[in-house]
Amino acid sequence: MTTHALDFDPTEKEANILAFLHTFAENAMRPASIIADAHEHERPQGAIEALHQLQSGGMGYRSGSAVDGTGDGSPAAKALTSILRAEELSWGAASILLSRPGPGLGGAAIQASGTPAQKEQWLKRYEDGSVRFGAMALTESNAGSDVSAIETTAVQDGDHWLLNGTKIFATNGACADVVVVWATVDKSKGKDGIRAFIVEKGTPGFSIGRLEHKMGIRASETAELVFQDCRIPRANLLGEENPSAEKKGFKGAMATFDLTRPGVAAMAVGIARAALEHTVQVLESESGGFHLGYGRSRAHLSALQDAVQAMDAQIEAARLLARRAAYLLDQKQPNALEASMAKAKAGRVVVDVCATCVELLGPAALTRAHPLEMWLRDSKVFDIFEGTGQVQRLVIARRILGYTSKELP
Amino acid sequence: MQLQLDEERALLKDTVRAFAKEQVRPHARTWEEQGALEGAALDQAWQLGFATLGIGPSYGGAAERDDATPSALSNTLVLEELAWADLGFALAALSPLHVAVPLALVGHEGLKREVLPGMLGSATLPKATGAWVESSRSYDLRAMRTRSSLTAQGPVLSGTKTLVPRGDIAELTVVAARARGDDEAASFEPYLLLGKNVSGLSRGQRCEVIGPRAVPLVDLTLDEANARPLAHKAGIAHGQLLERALVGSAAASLGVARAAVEYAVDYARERKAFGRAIAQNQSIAFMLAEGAMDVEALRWLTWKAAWKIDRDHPKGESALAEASRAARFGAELAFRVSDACVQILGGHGVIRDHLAELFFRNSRTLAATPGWFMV
Ligand SMILES: Cc1cc2nc3c(=O)[nH]c(=O)nc-3n(C[C@H](O)[C@H](O)[C@H](O)COP(=O)(O)OP(=O)(O)OC[C@H]3O[C@@H](n4cnc5c(N)ncnc54)[C@H](O)[C@@H]3O)c2cc1C
Repeated sequence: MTTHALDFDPTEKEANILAFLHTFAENAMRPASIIADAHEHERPQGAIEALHQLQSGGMGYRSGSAVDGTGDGSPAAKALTSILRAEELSWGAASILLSRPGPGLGGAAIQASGTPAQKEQWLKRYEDGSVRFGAMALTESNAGSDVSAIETTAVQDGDHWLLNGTKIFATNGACADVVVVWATVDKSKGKDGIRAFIVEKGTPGFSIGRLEHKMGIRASETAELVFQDCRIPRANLLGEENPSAEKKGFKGAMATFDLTRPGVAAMAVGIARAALEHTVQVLESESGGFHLGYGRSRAHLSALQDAVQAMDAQIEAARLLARRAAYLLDQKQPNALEASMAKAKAGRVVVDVCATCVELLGPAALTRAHPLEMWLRDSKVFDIFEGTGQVQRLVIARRILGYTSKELP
Repeated sequence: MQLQLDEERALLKDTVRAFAKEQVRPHARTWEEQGALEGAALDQAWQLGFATLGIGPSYGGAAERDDATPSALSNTLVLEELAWADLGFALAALSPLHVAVPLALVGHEGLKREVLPGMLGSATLPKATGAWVESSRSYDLRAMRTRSSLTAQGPVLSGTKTLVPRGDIAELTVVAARARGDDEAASFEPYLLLGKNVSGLSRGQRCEVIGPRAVPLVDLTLDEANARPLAHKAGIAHGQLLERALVGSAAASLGVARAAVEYAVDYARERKAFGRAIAQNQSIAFMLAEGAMDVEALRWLTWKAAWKIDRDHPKGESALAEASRAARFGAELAFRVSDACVQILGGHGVIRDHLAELFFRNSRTLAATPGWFMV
């Protein structure tokens, strides 16, 4: 409970940063994303370098210390700050933001369940001024939504763990310095046997497999990671080794999502906003112009106005859900329900909005004459990764119904 | 950014919620069937004092200063909770806000002093309401057909208003009307009909409406009816009242939508089919999840619009985009989840033992009736 009154506006300082990021997104990201879309597997180095500069300059998206997660150094609002920035930069290019330097999803996992020593050892390097990446490898060809089905094994061998298995779809997996790899230490225990391990690039037995060819977000690297008798130090088991805390392994993965889902939702909102803004600009430039007709009954709206108003309301709905989920995180309140709501909503809204915008602008919007077709291709994965729309609905439904995963599979 | 209610408002919400749950919801079905609300419950609601919030002491309000203004956010919280319990009850219990809010915001000083202290000091629910809705297909807050014209005795109003809550007994009625000759896009002005027997005013039969039926909703026919201009200056009220009406609609939708989702959740957990609770099927569970998700979204859309009104109206700025988004999202959602609620109850959903069919009927009214609620 708070005595502060409700306030939906960013602080003035934050608003200034967002305005700056907007210009950056417009100039350094959007044009690069269009080029990268046409040249898959060629990293948009210029934009990545620019993002890196931005982050080092303290204006970035979760800049500052990755070790303690203080983001830009304002402890009051780190998740919220970071998702405001994520929306702005994704308005420019979500696909490039996914390639931003930093510890990435792996870092989020280390932050969520690593020991203080592990945070120091594995995250510190991301502050050394060089361009570095991190990744998380959970998904396998036979285990996506159903994390408990993972087959990669970790077997203890003296002071080491031996990892064996193949991971797929790891974002920034090939370029990562540090990968957090989820494996089972005891298949008979199902999800309770799952733990996370920190694997460094170049470790013998760890190699990169194929890079995926995707429909969208082509500027983002999606890699297969192969582990063959990959030997890592015992201390690379993420979190405490203490077996009584074994459950923490799986819970750690879930806690990572409470952290990252609002961010993914904000990215989706950024794309949706870009698409709608572009569409409205085109409509406005046509003879006769266009206005939204706010506050009028639907009987008074043209089909175009009605469609645009509907999209605008849906985008704002998704945006507010994402912000609320991040706000709760900053207040150290549980946010799993809200994080799933935000992700489910934004993942759906971004696809619907992009698809509708393509439809509204006619045949030209199917071509590269407009960025809309790219955004539509980019949008779809936001309803899939970090938990599909269905998985989010399961999370929400279980919470509102009070069901376990056994009661509502 | 602060995405959490302050303590005082959270307390207000909890208080109204407890009242709504204990004193309103248990009677909702009976009242609906009888076509009448219980006066004592309405008076009790009135005595909670929400209408006096944000109104200065000289006018009989509870605020500390005379230049206070009613908070759209506070009123929104009250409305959500009452609409959750029963939309008909909310329409009746909040009908005095139609008079209190515009008067406090933009009222003519003389009229404020003449009307507000007596009304706010009343021990029973004042017979006050607002006449906004018109029956035309193109009814729209921005295209009123009821006209005002000026005579030597002051303004007179002509036109027909419909679905006026408690219009059968109202002694203070705010009417939104447009000056004669104004074009479509022009603004409306609020007028006040003072007293029960106003020359030129005739009250029609009760409207046979799909819902809610617990509250009398009547037609008012105005034939050069004598009215007082409510605002202290022409042209200052329109934007503010329009936006507050839209947020009112959103808040009512929020209440009904939340009610429908909660009702469906409870039922789906209890009802067994094929050896398990029906909620254990994803087709049901996902409908519920989506409903809960969108209710949460609507809450934030509505609160944001109300917050913006409270913050920006005093500066002369608009919250039209926010209010408009919330209202349209709300009207669509309230019906969608009410429909889902009936579906989840199956055949029992259409039986009047359950509230599901009431949500279904009531929720469908909300897209067509902006102006029903003033926050
Ligand atoms: C571009 C991209 C980047 C990615 N990045 C990463 C990454 O960095 N790290 C990582 O570990 N993974 C990553 N992923 C993997 C992603 O998280 C998974 O693809 C996703 O979780 C879904 O798993 P799946 O593809 O195996 O689909 P499946 O789990 O096979 O699901 C197929 C369909 O079945 C539905 N479904 C599954 N279970 C249920 C159920 N119980 N009830 C109802 N419906 C169900 C799903 O919703 C989906 O519609 C990435 C994927 C992509 C495409």
